[in-house]
Amino acid sequence: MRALVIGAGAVGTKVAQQLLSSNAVDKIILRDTSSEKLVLASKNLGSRVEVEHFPFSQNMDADVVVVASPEGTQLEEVKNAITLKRPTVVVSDGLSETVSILNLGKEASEFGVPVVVGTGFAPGLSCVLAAYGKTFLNETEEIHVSKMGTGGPACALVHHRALSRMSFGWRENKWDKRLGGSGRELLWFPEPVGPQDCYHAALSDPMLLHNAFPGVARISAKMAATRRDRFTAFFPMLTPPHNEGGIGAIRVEVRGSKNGVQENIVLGVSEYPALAAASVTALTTEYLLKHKISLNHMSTLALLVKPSEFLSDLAARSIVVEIFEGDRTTV
Amino acid sequence: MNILRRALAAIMTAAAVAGALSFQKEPGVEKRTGGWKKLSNFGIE
Repeated sequence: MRALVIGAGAVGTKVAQQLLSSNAVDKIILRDTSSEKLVLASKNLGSRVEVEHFPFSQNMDADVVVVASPEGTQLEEVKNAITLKRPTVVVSDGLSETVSILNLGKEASEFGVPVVVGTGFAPGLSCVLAAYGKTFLNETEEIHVSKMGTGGPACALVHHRALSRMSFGWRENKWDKRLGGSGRELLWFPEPVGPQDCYHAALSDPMLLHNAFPGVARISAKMAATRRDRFTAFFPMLTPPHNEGGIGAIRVEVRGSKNGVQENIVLGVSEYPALAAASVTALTTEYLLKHKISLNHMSTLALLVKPSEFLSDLAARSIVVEIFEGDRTTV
Repeated sequence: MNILRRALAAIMTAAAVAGALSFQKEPGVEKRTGGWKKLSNFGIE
């Protein structure tokens, strides 16, 4: 088995590492425009990695293609993979590009190619948590996702831009547009992240969640940010982003009813975003290679996997899911 | 003048303390407490 991993950044290299260590593939072809990243990755990953520098070969000679390249480059890679009929896993990050990729659904169906969109921390794990939260309820009315932290530099750039753009949430049968950086809400993430002020932002989670659960009346996504983040969001990044951010978290709140009683299910994960995204992507790729996901079109992770099985397999990779349990007391 | 000022400060302090205590004791104020709990079993044995 061969896997083509496009992007040798914080997520791509970790995906390659996990696929090799689990022996899911015999060989990895790692593709990136940066020769420095490729040299570093090939040193760390050993002899089973073949690096591919620009100009790239047109045929994606692999059993599966993992697209973990920066925002703005993913759409072309997905188009190419569909045309070549290669099963594809797309980490997916930016809102507009995710929408463009989802619009390729018709082509994927025509070619009969499996394409999994959104396999990162958020979107990705957030969608699986939402699907898992739904299993606690008879009827789901609302899903609210929030995230804190960034992975590599490409992720940091998306985070920076997301606060200055319009956010989209699903509200009563239509898309509800809100200005990025507005709608402050104090939300508690699992420790060590804890409480963070979160704001509307151009995140792709609502698009993927609405695609998976069209019957849910309200879907929103918010992102933790500081005052400086919000102020500087309208300017270009003044300082180069870090190689990899610190620990981050996601929190998914699913509201609905069970046996006629209103219930809120709050699930969360606290982890380094790039590591969590890589684990979700590598596991999805393994599911695809082992035919645990049977698919011949484009879909999202929330619809494709059994949430309990997927989260259990992720726990074996040290990605720990937590649930908020509250006691109601009257004093 | 000084005595009056001190008396006024004492009354205001007493009122603030009384207010805070009465707020704490107000019946029917609902508090939610809890915390994050790690999930290890997802219904799979």
